[in-house]
Amino acid sequence: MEPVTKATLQVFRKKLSPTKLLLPSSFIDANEKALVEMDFPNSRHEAWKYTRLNRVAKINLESTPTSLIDWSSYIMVKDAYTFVFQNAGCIYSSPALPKGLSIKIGDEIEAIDWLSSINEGHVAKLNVAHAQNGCVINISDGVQLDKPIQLLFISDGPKQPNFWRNQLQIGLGAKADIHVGYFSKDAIDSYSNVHWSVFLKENSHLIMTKIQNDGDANYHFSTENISQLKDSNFTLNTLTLDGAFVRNDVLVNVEGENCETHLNGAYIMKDSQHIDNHTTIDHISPNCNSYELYKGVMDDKSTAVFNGKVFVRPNAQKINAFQSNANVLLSNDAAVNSKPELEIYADDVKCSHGSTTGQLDEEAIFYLRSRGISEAAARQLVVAAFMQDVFLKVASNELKSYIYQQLALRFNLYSQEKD
Amino acid sequence: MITIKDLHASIEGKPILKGLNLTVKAGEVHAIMGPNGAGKSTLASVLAGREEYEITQGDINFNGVDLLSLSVEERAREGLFLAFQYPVEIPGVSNINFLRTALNEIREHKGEKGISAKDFMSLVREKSALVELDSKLSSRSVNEGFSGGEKKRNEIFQMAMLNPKLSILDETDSGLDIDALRIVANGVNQLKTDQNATIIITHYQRLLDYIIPDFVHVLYDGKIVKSGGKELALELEEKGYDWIKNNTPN
Repeated sequence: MEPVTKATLQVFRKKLSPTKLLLPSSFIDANEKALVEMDFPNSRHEAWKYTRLNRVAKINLESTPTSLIDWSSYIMVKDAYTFVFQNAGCIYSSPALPKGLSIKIGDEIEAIDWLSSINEGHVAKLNVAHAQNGCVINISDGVQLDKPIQLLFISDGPKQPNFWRNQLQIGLGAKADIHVGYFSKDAIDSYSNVHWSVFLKENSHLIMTKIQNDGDANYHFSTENISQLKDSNFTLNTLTLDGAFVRNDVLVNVEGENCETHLNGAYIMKDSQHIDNHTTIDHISPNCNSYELYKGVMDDKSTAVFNGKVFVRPNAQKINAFQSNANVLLSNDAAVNSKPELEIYADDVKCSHGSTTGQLDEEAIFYLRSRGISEAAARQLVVAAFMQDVFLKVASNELKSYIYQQLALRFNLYSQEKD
Repeated sequence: MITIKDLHASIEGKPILKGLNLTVKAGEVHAIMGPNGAGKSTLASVLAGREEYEITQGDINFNGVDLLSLSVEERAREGLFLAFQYPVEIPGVSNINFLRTALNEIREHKGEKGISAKDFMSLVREKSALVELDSKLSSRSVNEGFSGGEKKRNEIFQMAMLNPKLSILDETDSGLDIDALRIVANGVNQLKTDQNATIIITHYQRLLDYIIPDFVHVLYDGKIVKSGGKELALELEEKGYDWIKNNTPN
């Protein structure tokens, strides 16, 4: 393996524009200072052991102008407050927002709007340095949204770099459901890097569902940095339906007492696709529950990484933390690296983790086919059944039916390719 | 209905069926009996289209089509039904949803329109009553947590829903107590018309007290070595399979 030299990250950045967002200048300066000293991590770095960046590092990203797309085909749910991004542009903004919901886009965002957040790795640092667009969402205290917020991020064109930076703040006792979709169009070696900082105030309630449906020629990096105050309830559903290369880094800082955290993930990969889910739940305060459930179906030569860290700090007593990762391999060439990590420094806690990898029940598929159901439909039924407990975590029925629709599409395509 | 000619089948290079001939006409019930290892379940598997078996010789004509050229699902859509010896549990797949998908695929194949939700539910009620299957079971996951008897009744319930031309019951009586046996047999008998046919594969004569066959065949070492009327089953029960073994030249 060719070593990634120190210069590689700087060469990679050469044609990338500096951030267009009005981030606090001290923040940008500190970020830049650290970034010029950094390079792409290699497999000696624990967090990147099974996810190689050599191919990403070699891409000559360059933004080229594209024509306005018809985004209606990307819509996941009809009844929502919808915003659509195509590369660096925001091409649709919901015309009317209810009282208590504020969404600022791009240059509407002022430096003062950004709350501080820690950005450690090269992915998050690149995002600060080159962010081209994004949004800052504020939901006021006590507000319960009548419909979901829907954000669509569409990467358009070959070798297209996309850096989106977003922030979401849920007020005291407020409640929201947000759907985020990531797509790519005409991608060849394209690169998306999206960052979310999420702040849940006391007693707030948030369900965030990410649909990653990026297609076969896009490298997708996603970072969520979440902070939870007392009595808050946070759910993140990460559903990776398609994508050549997807890396998700989720960090939840459970700062307040009596919080609930749910991280759910489903990934359905094929060909030589690669998915890497890195999650960290940091229990800082006592009396909290966290639940983590990631399930994957891997076909062909696809590979998956699951790394779930749970920290329980010395003062964080009475913590219940459960973690599970289950995988089904549809081919002998698919592989999964699953690694749960629990670091517990308190003594009165209940933590468990489990990881399984198996095969799809061929006898079940034969049974369904023997009743007249096509092989593709039978596989889809059994895969959907395996994934069901993750899909059930998606609150919105409309989004749920979108997911099943995508799954059906995916498995019919799959059978045509195979036949 | 079905004509099986000189059928040879093997699994992992080992020959199991060695020249089997059988003709079943519409309106008939055939029983295939035989000792363990004779090839009874292989016959059921080959008819349903299990891919592990290699057909080395022979052909099967099913209502004018070459059955062996069809995929598993195409056979089902043409009207072939296998009631499994060991019905599979499929957690997360609802019995009702999967049956509706199956029924609609079969109807589409016949050029018929899909069944409405309302008509489907009344069909479910009617057919589950036939095998005294609690309608709550039909809305659960396929066979999940069903007792042995419930699984077999669910097989006959599916048979009733899909209305096949030819049903193959593979050791349907195994593991059934006398009440369940009566219920299953009663269901099969009620589904019998002069348009459809049934092949009952069984080790014991017991089931044939409830479902009266028109013909009984004895399968031994991959071939049908003896055929007769329903009295042959009783004779077998009395004399045992050694009677066949000792009278079959190798």
